[in-house]
Amino acid sequence: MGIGGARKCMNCKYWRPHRFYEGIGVCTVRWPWKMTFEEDSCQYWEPLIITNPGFYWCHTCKQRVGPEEFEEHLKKGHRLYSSVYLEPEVKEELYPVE
Amino acid sequence: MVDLTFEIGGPQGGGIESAGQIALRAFMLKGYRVYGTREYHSNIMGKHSYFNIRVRPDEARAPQLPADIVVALDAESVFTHYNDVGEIMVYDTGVLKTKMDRIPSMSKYLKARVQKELEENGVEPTVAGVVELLNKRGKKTVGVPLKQLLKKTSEESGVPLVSISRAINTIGLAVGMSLIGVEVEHLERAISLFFAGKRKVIHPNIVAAHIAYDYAKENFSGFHRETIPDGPHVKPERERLIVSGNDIVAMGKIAGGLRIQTYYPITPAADESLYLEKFEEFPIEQWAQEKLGIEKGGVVVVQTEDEISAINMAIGASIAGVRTATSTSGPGFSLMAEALGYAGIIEAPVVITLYMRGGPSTGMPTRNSQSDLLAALFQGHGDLPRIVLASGDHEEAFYDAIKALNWAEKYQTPVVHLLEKAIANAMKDVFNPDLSGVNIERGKIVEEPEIPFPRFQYTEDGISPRAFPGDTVVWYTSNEHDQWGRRNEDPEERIRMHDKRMKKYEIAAMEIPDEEKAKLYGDPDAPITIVGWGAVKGATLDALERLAAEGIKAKYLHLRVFMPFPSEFVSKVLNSSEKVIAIEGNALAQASMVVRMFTGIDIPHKAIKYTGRPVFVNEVVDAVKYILETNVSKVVLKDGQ
Ligand SMILES: [Zn+2]
Repeated sequence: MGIGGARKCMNCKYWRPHRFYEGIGVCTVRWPWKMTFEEDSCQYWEPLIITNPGFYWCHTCKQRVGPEEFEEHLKKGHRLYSSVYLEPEVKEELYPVE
Repeated sequence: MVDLTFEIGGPQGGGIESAGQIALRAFMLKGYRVYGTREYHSNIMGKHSYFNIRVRPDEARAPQLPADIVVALDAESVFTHYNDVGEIMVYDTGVLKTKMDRIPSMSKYLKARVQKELEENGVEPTVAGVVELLNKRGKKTVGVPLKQLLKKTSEESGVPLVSISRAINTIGLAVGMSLIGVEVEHLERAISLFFAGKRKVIHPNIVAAHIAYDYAKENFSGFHRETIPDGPHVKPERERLIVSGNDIVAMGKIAGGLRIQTYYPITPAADESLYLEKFEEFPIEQWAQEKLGIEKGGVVVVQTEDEISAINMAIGASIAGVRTATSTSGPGFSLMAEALGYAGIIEAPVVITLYMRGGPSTGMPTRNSQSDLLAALFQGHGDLPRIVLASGDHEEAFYDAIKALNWAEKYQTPVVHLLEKAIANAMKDVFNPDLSGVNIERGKIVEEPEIPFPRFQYTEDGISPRAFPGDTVVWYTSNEHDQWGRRNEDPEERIRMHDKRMKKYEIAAMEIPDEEKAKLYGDPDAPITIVGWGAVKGATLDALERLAAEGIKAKYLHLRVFMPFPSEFVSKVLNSSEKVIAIEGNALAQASMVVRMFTGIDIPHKAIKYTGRPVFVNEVVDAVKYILETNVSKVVLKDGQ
């Protein structure tokens, strides 16, 4: 299963969505990672297919989902990725709360 | 006169903090005073956060709504803040189609309220629907293709996108600044200042700012306000700092000679201790080096295993002879209850800086309240003399931190210094504090004590001289004791020792002048008196100006010290007022209860707020007018997200 449609970053297995900003993410096919837009495309495109139970990032629910939950999210048409992109500087922007 | 409010919101962790900080600096460089209120969630990442920035030529001291401009960096900010929009909303065209029910981070209760309002107005629950509604209301809506402008920033700066995604905030911010009439040069300088030392970050952000200014000019030229004239502080006569309440309390403690601070991390207190940690060693001037025989100054900051330990360690350090404080918020203060009594009976000078957040229990860790006043006054058992003071703004907080340390040592008693989250987390520009009037008063200390030493010697004023272990032998016990600190339960001695302790409170009540305990602002003959404390001060002082403009003559009685309470002064003011209205950030109107306890006067009208948000200027104006019209006894304030 995966996200249908054309060969776009958003349904490529190498792509990880940005944690905060809509429509952008990183392509992890080559180091250093490159930031792309979800509707971009490139020669390395490979389909994003999620079948094995595991931990995924549900970009619709903006949360990590586990092996027991991921199918439920896929069934609802949610966008699942193997991981999500967080900038290394994110800690500068967070308020610690105790 | 320029008096504007700039609001910017987005996902927590996504760069709102930087954007807000840059905006504050840009307005300061433009010559204005600023006040930035921060709201954020306790479950951290991805949840909505925002800055409400107030800008004025003279002191900016409270948040207000509506905001002249709202910059919504994501869809959730659009749905959360569209009712805050006074004139302009900037939004991302990339989220126009986003449906509200597809935003997982947004609270279902807010969604339900927004859904209802959008339905009633016949627009769909999407960002496009909100934009349509705002247009119907005559507001200006400015759609910005953030992604495309980010791409352009990458191309023009030559910096790969992956390194500059946070420049999205700069683009949104810059469009807002351009529309509100701030020149790009000020924003540039603010970016350089905020990211000082990070050239790789500064360059693309400045490119982003220019791209955003150009975009706004090309596409929304009709929406631009006129360029704001330079403010009165554009060529500063005195150095200004931009600080949080936490920062300035830490600064006050350093200036006040603090030597040991203990803490266990808790919101919204921890930042003060983290700031202090930067000054575990600091340079001191030559004359001080010579006088003190030391090369450097320093504060020891200790993170303990919990708050019980934090206060006990602070008490230990004060017995050893150094100035000590601990810093916490409600839940931590609850744990300190027993030790507070211990500090009382052994007459240990210790300052507890208590930051109020939404309670009870862990309540709302990141939200505001004034609900710990009664706890500060009555926490702990037994007749316990103590001093309780509350700061109303950053400047008061600085000098109060020093005063608290002085009073603790002078009267050998615990001092609770109250502040609110609204002050702790707010960024305010303050003039570099004047230290000329600052004295460090350590009270009665014997340099060459007899051995052993009668630590609790009876004296006329109840204050016994102190001497420290190492110089002599002293006894301390949490039990009732004699002059030597040895356990004693003789009935007559008990009366003497207890009276001695309580006498200190009487002395403090006499020595601390009324003007430090409460202050009257505005025309003393105005028939209406608004009574408040803490951060209510800023909102109320601004409200007085607006009420006066509408012909309503009111003054503001600002309560500062609750123990010992300025009963006579407060009674005099209240008894000579035609109408008295209390404004408080708690549901019980706790300060009004204290007023009644010490003066017998029941304040008949109360405007109270317990949403966890600070009191806004507009709320004070509206509440006072409403009470005058209807004569109701209670108004509940609800503004702010
Ligand atoms: Zn999902």
